[in-house]
Amino acid sequence: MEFLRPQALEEALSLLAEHPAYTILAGGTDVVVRRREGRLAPEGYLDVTLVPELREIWNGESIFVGAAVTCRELEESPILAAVCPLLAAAASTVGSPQIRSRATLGGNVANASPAADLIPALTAADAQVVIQGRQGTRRAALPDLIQGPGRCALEPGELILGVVLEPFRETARWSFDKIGRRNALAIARMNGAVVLEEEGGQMRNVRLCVGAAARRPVRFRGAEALLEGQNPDKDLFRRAGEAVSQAILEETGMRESSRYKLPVAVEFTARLLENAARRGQA
Amino acid sequence: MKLEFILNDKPVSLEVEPDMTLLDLLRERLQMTGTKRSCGVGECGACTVIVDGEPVNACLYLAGQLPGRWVYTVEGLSKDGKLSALQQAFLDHHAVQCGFCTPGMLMSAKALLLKNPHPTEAEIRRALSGNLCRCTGYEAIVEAVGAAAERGSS
Repeated sequence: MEFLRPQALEEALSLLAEHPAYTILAGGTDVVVRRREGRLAPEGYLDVTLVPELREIWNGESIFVGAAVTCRELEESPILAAVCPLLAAAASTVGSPQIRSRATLGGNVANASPAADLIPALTAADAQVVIQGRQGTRRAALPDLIQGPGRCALEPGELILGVVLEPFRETARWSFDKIGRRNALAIARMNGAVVLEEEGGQMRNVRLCVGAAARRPVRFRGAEALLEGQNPDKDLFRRAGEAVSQAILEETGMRESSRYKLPVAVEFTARLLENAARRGQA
Repeated sequence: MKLEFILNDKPVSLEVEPDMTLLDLLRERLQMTGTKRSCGVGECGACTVIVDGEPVNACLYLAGQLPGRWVYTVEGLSKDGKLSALQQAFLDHHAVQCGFCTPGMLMSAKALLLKNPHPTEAEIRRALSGNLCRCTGYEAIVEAVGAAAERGSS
């Protein structure tokens, strides 16, 4: 069993080109579980946790967050606390303290679980995933990259370097929320994030993503349009929730879970928006 | 692969398969059975150990990622045959029922106190949230960690 541990990005990419079938490993919190369940039988491993470029969070014109940054590091990052607290908040709800020590941003994206907690936050923050392959780098929005449960559209030989996102402005209002059977170690039954800007009391540039509700992360454009330019208002938030619920039904059709998820989506969305608006008043 | 790492302050060197889990390495290769095996998928916390200061599930940690790391297990808590203050607090507060979750609880609590010697009750509960106790004796465990913190040593 080959277990490769590149210590530079160039080396990681050339090893990946040489061994495109090897399993890319970071924190192992999905890979080792899938192996145990017999859903994955790695031919070899390519451990990316020693690649310095993937371990960084930096704040230039945009913010870059490396793929091998752990949820603990996201949670505790002073940079994110200042410029994208939404991502830190989402990371603080992942799994358990033990899982957050290990699970990474890149792993959350690459595994493409519909219940992934970072994905709605990254989508609402309008993050672009930076991907490098032999042909160079490309950027992709999460709704384009993630095509279904467990299906992240990476080509052989491509590696997620991290995400870039724009720092939140002072007028930004946001919230993240999650419903599970308990606080820790519960796969989200529903999770979601909203980011908007409040200008003169009106909501602008609303970006709303509800996860664990559809086959892949989507922004709810209909609900966003309802809110655009309006004043925060409880009835309006509920109508936005109804629009989300309707859009989920259109996306998934009636399913066993719909009797639970469709009404919950209404309340869940309304609460997300109320929390974002309340955070604005503080 | 030849693996060298630090286990409970002592250097260890051995030949292992890199895709072996740290849990198997501890229990099957090193016969250190204080770290418990339960769910095997990172959901129960019974196998919690500390790697480079962070609590982790040993069942999800591959040996190939261990070179040069500092690992602490429950066997590393006592010194010269004497229980640590944290272990003593667990006894004093009857925080041990069947005992199966205890090593993991101790290591999660130890990881908390290393970083935050004076946690609030909410911080203690959050730090223990990845550890299940099927006897449901959580109150006594939370009290024990709080008491150890008050005594200022873990």
